[in-house]
Amino acid sequence: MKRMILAGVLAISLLTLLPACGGESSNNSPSAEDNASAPTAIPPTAQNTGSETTAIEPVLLPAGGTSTLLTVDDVSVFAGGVGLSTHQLALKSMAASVDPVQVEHIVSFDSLSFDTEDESRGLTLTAIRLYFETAASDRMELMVEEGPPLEHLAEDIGDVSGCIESNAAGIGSIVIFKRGER
Amino acid sequence: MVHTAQPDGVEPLVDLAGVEFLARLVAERL
Repeated sequence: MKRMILAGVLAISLLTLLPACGGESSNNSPSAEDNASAPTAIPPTAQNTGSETTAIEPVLLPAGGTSTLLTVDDVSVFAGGVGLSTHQLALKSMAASVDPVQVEHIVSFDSLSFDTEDESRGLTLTAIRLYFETAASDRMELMVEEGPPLEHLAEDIGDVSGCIESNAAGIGSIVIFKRGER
Repeated sequence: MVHTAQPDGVEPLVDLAGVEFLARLVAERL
């Protein structure tokens, strides 16, 4: 079964899951149009299931996996050497709890964030690995069509890529790409 | 996807060029 790696195609709403991505959640709350096409996970919250109330909590990843894709040293070079902490989250189960259909064909759905000590600024890598190239292409296509307009990079990353420089509404820059297995 | 987030009016942790570089780094490591 051919696997496809899609780094990106994630609802910006996931920012609300990540404690280090910008202080108060109101500063990072995405607009509705930002959430157009990606799996949606929800932040830790109480759910009323009748007589019981259960909480959905982020699942911390074990060491390895996404953490090998980007390191504190990598980010520090561009962050002026400020102290950074890291957080990893496994988001697939959270997205599945919202709607199992949206995690169809997804092998893994993880995030790795690098945050300043006061948690006011952060950089996050979000990676979605899919079983099928067609599934990755479909998600990427949907995001391009329904999400905020992407600018072209001077040189593409992977098969398809683009960027957004927002610096507003709690969002800085976004670079997204899709790459098939090599 | 690699992205930065910060309150409005605050300098991003990493600028767009840096985010792009890091995204390329991730692509190479996948």
